[in-house]
Amino acid sequence: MSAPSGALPASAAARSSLAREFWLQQAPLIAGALLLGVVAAYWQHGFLPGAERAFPVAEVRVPVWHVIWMGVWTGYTMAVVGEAAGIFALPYSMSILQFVNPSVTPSTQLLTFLNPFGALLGFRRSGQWNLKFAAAVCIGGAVGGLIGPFLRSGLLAAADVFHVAVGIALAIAGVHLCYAAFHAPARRVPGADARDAYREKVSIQARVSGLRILVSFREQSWDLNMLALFGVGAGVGMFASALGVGGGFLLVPIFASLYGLPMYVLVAATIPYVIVLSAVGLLTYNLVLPAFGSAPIAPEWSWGFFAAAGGIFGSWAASKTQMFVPEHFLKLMLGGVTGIVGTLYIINFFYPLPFKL
Amino acid sequence: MKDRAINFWWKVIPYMPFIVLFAAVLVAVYHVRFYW
Repeated sequence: MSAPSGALPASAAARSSLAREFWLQQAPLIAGALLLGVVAAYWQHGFLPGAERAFPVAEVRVPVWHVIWMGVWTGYTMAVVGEAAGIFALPYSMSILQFVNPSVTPSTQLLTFLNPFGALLGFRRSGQWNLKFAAAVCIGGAVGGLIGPFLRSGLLAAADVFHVAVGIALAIAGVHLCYAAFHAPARRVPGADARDAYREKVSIQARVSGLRILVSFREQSWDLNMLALFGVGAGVGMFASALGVGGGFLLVPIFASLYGLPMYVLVAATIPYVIVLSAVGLLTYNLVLPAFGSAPIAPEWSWGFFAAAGGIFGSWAASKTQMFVPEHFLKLMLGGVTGIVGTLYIINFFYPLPFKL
Repeated sequence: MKDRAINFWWKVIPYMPFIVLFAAVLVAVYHVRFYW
């Protein structure tokens, strides 16, 4: 009976540290993103779009709170199952909010650029951080981020072809989530180790020799080829930046299943990767495309900032409650929904469906 | 009173993703109904 009375002061301390973490770290980020959203709206259009006046670039009328809410719920639910908001926010923007012109890609890319900063700060503090390990895949991502937007403005310019490409990405994410749901019990074996990794400060080591890199964490180590990491980063980056997502939906399964890297190690590479890829993608959409004679694809800046403000809160809330949520069932459910939506997008291209997608 | 509120939140947290998803569906239906 002593456990509950002993647990109370601890949980009170945990609550106050949680509140401190929110107000000191997350709230400034959220407020900053909201402020940037308002500033960007006035700078880009001279007014604040919303329910009354359509977002001029997106060409849709939607209340600002709905864009923030989209960030919250996509960020929260996807972060609970270890994914990022982009892969859900993109089809939601397209199919529900009817943001169907090419600008949806860089606008979502702005969300995927800002969203992981909260997680990055958290992982850096817990020691899940190694720039040598992240370097090769991030450079690959930068190269992919330079090529992807050209695919978007050429090969994927037509709305129906773009829907198919998003459908394929969603189907991949859906299969991966369902697979992860069924294989969760087996992965849970080193669970105690993983929980320790989150609780106390750890350190990921990396040693480079020639073209190989030896990544080690506690007693485990992985010998990786940096050229292969670069190639994977470039390939994933090309596809992801052409769609406007972060690329985690492809990179995480590749790292986890091909290289056997555990989740708490691979985040040291995938979180910086998503940030680098999204930044380069955004830059390419705005500046590099016109430099090569193509028309730039401008993002709806305020849309991206508002969604990111919600997304930062959502993914932070997820990181704090993830341990108490039935991940298995949720993965299956989200994987099912994602897979079905992806399949519908693909079917709709070949056999037009009787409803709007 | 405070402890009861905290206990309530602890009970709600595991269902939170499903509540959030349900709310998302409601908001999406609202948007389709009034903005399309």
